[in-house]
Amino acid sequence: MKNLDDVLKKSLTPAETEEGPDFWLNQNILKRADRQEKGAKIMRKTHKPTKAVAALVIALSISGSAVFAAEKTNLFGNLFGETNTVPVESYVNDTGADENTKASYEYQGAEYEVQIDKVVRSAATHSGIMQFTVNRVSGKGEPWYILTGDVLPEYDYWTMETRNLQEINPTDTDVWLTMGLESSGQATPDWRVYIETDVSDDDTQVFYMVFNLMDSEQADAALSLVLKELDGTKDSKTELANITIPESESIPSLTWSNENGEQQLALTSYDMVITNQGASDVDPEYDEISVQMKDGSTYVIDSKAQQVKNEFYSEYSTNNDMWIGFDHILDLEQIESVTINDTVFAITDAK
Amino acid sequence: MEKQQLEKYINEYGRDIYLFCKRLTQNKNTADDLYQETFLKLWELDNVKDTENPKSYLLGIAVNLWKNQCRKQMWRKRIADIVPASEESQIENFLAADSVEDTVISNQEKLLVQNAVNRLPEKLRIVVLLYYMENMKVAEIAEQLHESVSSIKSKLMRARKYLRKELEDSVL
Repeated sequence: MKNLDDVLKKSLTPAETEEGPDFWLNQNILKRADRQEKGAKIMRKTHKPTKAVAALVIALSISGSAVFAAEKTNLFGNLFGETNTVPVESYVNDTGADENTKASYEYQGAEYEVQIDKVVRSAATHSGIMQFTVNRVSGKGEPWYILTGDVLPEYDYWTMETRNLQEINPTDTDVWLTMGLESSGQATPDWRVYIETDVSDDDTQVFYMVFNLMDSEQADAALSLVLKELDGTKDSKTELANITIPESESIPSLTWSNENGEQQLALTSYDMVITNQGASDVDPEYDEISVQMKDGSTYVIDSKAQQVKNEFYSEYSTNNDMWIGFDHILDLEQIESVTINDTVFAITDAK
Repeated sequence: MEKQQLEKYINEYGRDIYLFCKRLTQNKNTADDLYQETFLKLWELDNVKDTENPKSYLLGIAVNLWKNQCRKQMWRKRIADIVPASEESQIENFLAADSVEDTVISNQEKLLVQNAVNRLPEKLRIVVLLYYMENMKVAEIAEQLHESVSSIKSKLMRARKYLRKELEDSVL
């Protein structure tokens, strides 16, 4: 019988022959550190790092009533798809063929057209979800650039990086295309974003962007979708396209306030904000968060104990406010209360 | 932090941190990113000069960055899109490393152990890697992960229990 500790130690200790980092990785660190030192520091995000509240749950499982299980599809499909039957449908601004929401640009010898298709916003949670499409007009047959999912805080706040498939390892000769949001006429607000691609083919890519501006003092300011081309040193940026995100009526929300009248919880059909200003009655360091429905059923949004994670993204703000995006649409009309850990919050204050 | 100090830390601890990132992420490209972000985070921090154990500190940064990124679906989706290293290539790595004649554990067994560790829940896996791979003490892990010593001990115990069951017929 072998000793488990000994087996683990010998199995996990790297062999001397295992190779360390490539030379260019270390060079890249030093170059990026150089760039930060030269001035990019002023652009660095100031928010507190996200705290890991729940362990990573690989399998996204559904808990709760069968009704929810049946409804569980892609959030964006529910929100923007043809099968949208949820109450927020009327709050989605479908821009159609509006020329004001369209722009053309050239990138690496090919012509593209970007169009904001649909937008929904929430004033209560300072957030929004947008669908936009990039069409290739010319240069067909060339590689598409891909969304890497990285954020580059040292450039523009949370600007999403896209780069050509051939440019896996960044070098000084790379040209990067970034996508981001800007507040019109203002410095970049402090915003956070989640982005993913959906239906895509050789000529078209459909993007979904979820954004929240919890920390921004310009939470209600007009925003623009901005595409920029960065030069090799990433020091200069050429604006390729700038489209003002169209206005849309805010979706409804439910809130909960403490005895002092301080709002500490805001809930919409797709997200939630737990406020943690001062002595909060609501603990944003949650282990379990669920929604109780009027029909007596419960929908678990996140639970360590049950290993359920029905949120697609969550993040703390500077003030430790917690923003949680759900992975499908909730019907607010049917919600009676929210339970965080063992505390029930009767959120009946419809707005 | 001075740039020379950053360079010194990269030279001294770069390989260890990189190999840890590879074990943690189980993917070279993701490890490349995490490795860079770890040192850049160190570069951003002002209070690092007082740390007694820079390697533990760097490992703590790597783990916390990884946990943050794991919380974000975008990162998770990206990982899901990347084909993990095949078992074949893992075996090749182990074979290449099998130069020690007195190895009590065969390379095939090491692979089984690694795969069992990879199947652990993330929070247990992180503690196991820090404890067994990096030889960190329980108190050090607790400090870097901002958890209590008893919490780390509990995680190690649970991980051992799981691994013993997983490996009892094949390796132990």
